[in-house]
Amino acid sequence: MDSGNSNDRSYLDQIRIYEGAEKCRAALNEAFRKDVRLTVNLLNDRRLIFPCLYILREQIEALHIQRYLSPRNMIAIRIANQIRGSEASGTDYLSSRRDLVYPVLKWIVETGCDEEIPEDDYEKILDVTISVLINIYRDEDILPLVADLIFKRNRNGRYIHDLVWALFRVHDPRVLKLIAERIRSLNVKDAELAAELLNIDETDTPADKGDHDGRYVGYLHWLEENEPYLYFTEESFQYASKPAFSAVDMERKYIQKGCPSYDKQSSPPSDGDAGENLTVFKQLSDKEQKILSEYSKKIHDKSVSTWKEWLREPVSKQIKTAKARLEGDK
Amino acid sequence: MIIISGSTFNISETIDEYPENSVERQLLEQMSKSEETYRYDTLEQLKFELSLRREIVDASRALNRSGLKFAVFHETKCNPEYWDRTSNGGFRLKSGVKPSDAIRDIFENGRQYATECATAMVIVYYGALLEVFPEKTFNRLFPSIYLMNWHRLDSLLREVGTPKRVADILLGDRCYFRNPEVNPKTPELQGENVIVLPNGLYYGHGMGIANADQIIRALNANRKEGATQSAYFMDDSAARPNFKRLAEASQSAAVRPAVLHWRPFPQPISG
Repeated sequence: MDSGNSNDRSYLDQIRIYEGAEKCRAALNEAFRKDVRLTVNLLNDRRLIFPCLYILREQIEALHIQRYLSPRNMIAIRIANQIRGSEASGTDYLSSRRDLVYPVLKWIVETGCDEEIPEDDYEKILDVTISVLINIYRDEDILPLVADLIFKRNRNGRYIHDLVWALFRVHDPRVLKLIAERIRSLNVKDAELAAELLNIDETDTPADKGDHDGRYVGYLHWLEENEPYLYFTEESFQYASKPAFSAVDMERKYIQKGCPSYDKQSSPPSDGDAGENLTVFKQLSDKEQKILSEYSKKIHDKSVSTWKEWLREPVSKQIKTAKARLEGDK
Repeated sequence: MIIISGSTFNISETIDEYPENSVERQLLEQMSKSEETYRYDTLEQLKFELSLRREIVDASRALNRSGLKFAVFHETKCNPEYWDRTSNGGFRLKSGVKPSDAIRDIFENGRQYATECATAMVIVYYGALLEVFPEKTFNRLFPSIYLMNWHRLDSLLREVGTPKRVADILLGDRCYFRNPEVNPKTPELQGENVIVLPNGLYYGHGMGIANADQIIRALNANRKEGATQSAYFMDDSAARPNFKRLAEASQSAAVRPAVLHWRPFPQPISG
């Protein structure tokens, strides 16, 4: 039961929250029977939130009062109908930027995530709205809400794959940090999903031995070290069972030239020995590439001149040195 | 090149066992001419892979004919006689139902089912395995089936969910068309999982059986406004079942003792 100030809630929301959806629908019908103007005012209360509009949408249509709705509510119902495939008007609210539509999309997500209704229809509306806000409006303010929603749904065994896809389309390490917060969660499902989305086994983060904070700090440290070479892969749950949503560009780490963006881009050409070595580097196994790139960063951080010398050595010698030193450090 | 027990295998020893233009024959020819080395311990192992690949191709065609509909996970449906629809849109084998009957029902009564492209690929694999294994073996190996894209794959099929770099794309491979600038209102068209069929064709659920150009055209028609990047076929990676492990599993009488029979969602304890 919500303990918030009931004055912050619309009359219809109060009934929905405290007495349930059926009572809320009955209240709307009762109000309509008595006074149409009052009914419209109840619906157009600016405090009304999207879950309430959603559960009342069929009543609104049955009572033929859509045309009296506020622009926000009217557009929200049309967006919901378009996503549900029942909007025959032909207006596409979702494929391009529209100034009037943006605040409504945002309202749907901001008020809709908070009280998600575990129904496929409702979840689909939120999934697509979030996807449109991220991909078309580049709205990054909603990212924390989306991350919350993913973990909330996961706890309840609901569908998350499209939300995860949308979240990673942002191509920003802030997304990884938002997810990493959940490594510390005492909820096992949260911690497991966070580890899966971060592909944590491929990082140097210590294994989960009950020290959630230590693991979290370890991951952030890894991220800080690798962020200059990080890129987002476009993999998704539609493509693979364990998608690598982000990865480290080993070539760029090896030659110590960070990515200009978080997309995969080919390494800049290098001259002379370094250029030849990069060609050899590309033929190495993943494991050897990892060793060399890590060692490269390590000595570059200590001394650029030593690093330059090392980079000119034959790759076979580089591997030998790197293995010996990294082993010695352990 | 094909190597069996350390020796180069001459396909003329076995190719005549297969009809002209058969899937097996095309596979043998492609693998033997390839610069990649395909290694097997025995000839039976190779033949098992050829049979399973042929069945994957046939199961793709059969599923395409079945009337199985396309639906996003929020709108999936299944025949409740055989499957429980889970809260995330997957299908879980109903308690007390024979796995073979439940899989067969999808192929026979496809119109009662709707799902998206990745789950259809998993159904193809089960359909193919049902043809390769005796029914009893199939039911013993796959006592609990859960169908939801590549999520919670049976351990005997886990490799189909992990595409890897490959030198050759072979018949029966699971490949992917990526649509990098998909319209955000249709995330389900971010790509298309396909099974590679003969004659340059692919089976992708929702697309049907089509060539690469047709699939790319269909995906491109669902890009966001102002998109400049075309959908494309990822020609350097494919996912394949672990054919050797499946061959061994079919032969081993006690491959899966009862304690390993896991269920993704245990029944609640009553009382």
